[in-house]
Amino acid sequence: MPPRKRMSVSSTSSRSESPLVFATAPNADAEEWVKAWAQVPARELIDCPVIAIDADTSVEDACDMLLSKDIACLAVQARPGSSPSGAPYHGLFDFSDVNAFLTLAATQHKLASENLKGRPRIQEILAAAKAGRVPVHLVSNLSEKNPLEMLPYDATIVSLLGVFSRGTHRVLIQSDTSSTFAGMVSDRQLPSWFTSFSQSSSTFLRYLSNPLSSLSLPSMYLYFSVIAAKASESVLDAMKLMSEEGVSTIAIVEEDGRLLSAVSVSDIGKIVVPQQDNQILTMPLHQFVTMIKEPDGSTDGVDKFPVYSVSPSSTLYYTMQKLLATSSHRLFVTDDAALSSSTFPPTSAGNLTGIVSTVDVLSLFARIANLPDIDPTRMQRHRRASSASSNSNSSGSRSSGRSSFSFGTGSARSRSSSRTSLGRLSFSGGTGIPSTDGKTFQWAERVSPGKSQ
Amino acid sequence: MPSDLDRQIEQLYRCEPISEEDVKRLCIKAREILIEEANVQVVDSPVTVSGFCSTLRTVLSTGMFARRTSEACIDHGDFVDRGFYSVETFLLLLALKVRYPERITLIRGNHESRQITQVYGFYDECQRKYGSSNVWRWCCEVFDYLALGAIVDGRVFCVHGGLSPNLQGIDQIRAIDRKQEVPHDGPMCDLLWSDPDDITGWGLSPRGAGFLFGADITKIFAHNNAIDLIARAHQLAMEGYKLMFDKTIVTVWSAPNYCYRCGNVASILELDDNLGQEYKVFAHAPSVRSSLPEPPSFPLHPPHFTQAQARGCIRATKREEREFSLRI
Repeated sequence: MPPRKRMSVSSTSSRSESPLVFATAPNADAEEWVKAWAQVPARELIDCPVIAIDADTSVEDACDMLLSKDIACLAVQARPGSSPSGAPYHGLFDFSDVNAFLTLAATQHKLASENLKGRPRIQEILAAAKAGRVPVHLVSNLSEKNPLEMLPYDATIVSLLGVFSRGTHRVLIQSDTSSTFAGMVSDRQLPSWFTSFSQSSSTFLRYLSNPLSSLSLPSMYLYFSVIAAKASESVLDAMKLMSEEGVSTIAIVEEDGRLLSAVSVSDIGKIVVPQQDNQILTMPLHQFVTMIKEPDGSTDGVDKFPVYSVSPSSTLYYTMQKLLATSSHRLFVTDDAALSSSTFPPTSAGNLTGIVSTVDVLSLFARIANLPDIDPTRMQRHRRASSASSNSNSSGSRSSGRSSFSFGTGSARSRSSSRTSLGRLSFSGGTGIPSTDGKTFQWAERVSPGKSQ
Repeated sequence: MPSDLDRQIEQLYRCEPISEEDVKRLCIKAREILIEEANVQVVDSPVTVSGFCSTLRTVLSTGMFARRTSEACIDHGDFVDRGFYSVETFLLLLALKVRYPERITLIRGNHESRQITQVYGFYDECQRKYGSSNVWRWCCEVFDYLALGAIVDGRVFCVHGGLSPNLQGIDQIRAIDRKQEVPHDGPMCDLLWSDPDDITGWGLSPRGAGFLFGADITKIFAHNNAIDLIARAHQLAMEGYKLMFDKTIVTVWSAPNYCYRCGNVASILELDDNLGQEYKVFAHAPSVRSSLPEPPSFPLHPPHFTQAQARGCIRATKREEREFSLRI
């Protein structure tokens, strides 16, 4: 086993004592860091090869490949004649796209025809499904979270920051000679690299020792960012939420708002996809979470904590380490103020107050590097806007429902009721259970809107 | 009460759930006993140490637990979750604790928590068997009172998970207010979640709670606290037990063929009067041969308990030692 870097003494304390002031990077130091970053070629961080798949492969087979090869993303080859620039790839395909497709398949029977106007791709998908087979190129980046981003051979860490701080999860690096690609860099490579960099720059390490609360992170506070579903809601509710809100993970909370666990698009890929029928879509989320967790530790005894979280006083360094250690894209921020009290037994989960993601962290560094146009939530907002326009009942209720989500003030209830009323013409009981109108959900080539049971 | 308790023990031993009313009273009684215990219980040798033993009935059936008053054991936690008989197993353990409070020491594991049991199965099992969450709630209240560790003759430190960067001394553990749900971070969480690993210093755990700690940390802790060995559980050991870092730390894993698929063996650690270590390894629940003498006499069945998550510890008679144990 390769020796791992030891956390230096100053950073083993995961809590910082700094007062709540906005921590900026001192200019002279920042210049030094950025100069160092600009020296490092992006291609040194390549962590996976570009694995290509034919554009006409079925969605089923493509998803199968993701699961069997245990990879996060495939590159969909361009169809002959379709790409004027001669670019070899049409786009990418990952679990967010799988979730978007499954959600569409499960809800397509509700889509009124006027919703499909101006959405030719959805129409093509539905037509293909009717014909019996959906080719993967139609589903490539259906989630709108997985665009094909490319960087030249000589791109540096700074260029990577520019791409990742806009919310993408991976970028292709071109080879130096041909029009092929040297490989892919995934966004988790950067926190890893920056952590190593801090071992050689004491000023950067000091910056990383700031608590999260003192940094300008957009999603720390609930009303900006936490997308959550109740443990009693269904798997389909979770899928819709991820697809419509443009996130790859949502929190699962108890009735009283305590954080129970999380569900991500890769869980959907791993558990929902292999199912032969639609029963799983109606499963309550607390049960689904048990299914997700069940294999954890069953072969090696290494049980995992049901949810990965940090507190507002955790340092940036600790947060980056935890993102890496747990292989997650985001951590929930819970308020642990109650834990320090000895007068009453606090809950284990604390109060969910926000989220901190890899993208948020990298945006901080992008700002230090004076990169223009940094907006970590842009892709999410774009997705939300486009999915809202496809819901017949959404109008303004989506955005108002989402932004007022909080605990204990009653607006949690209003949020869920606004979601309940959205486009649920054929849903019974407001619990998100699809009505038994004969339109059963069928996966991939068996998605067939016209067929009745 | 004693005869009631013996009846409950016998019933639970047969994997039959006891009534909800009985559960309530048993939990209250257990809490009364546990509340008096220290965060780090002081235990005298000889004693048997078991971690995550799912063969409670087997172990009980092969030994004359009830008869040998000198027998003592420490149980390392993870009494519940995974498996079909968590409820009966945990309640049996509680009943035994109430029956023989001086002889059994229970240490809290990371699964003795509301959050974990809601996700890993115990909550669902309670719902299924009792139709409400009462039993789960009362058991979780008992969890809150469990000790965090034990120390044998001042030289062998027992804990479920491992060490914490916030705890240099065992005395500091004594200062923790343990009567709460397991926090999602901090020293109490670390004790139940950390793992030894081949690194230098500390690392964050991929489990999402607790830390990884290396040989240097372990040896410094042992030296500063004048202990010879840290005995813990929390991780699967294919050979039933795993010594690391020049034998300063051992993982004792007592669930054979974990989850019906791991194909591992299991072990328990016996410490004699001089703290000599003997690891008794067993591959699967052996079929039962003898009946227990008075009292109580349990009916003996081939153990179905195997995958339940509770632990008991027992010292077998010399005769049975030859039959089922391997000397290391």
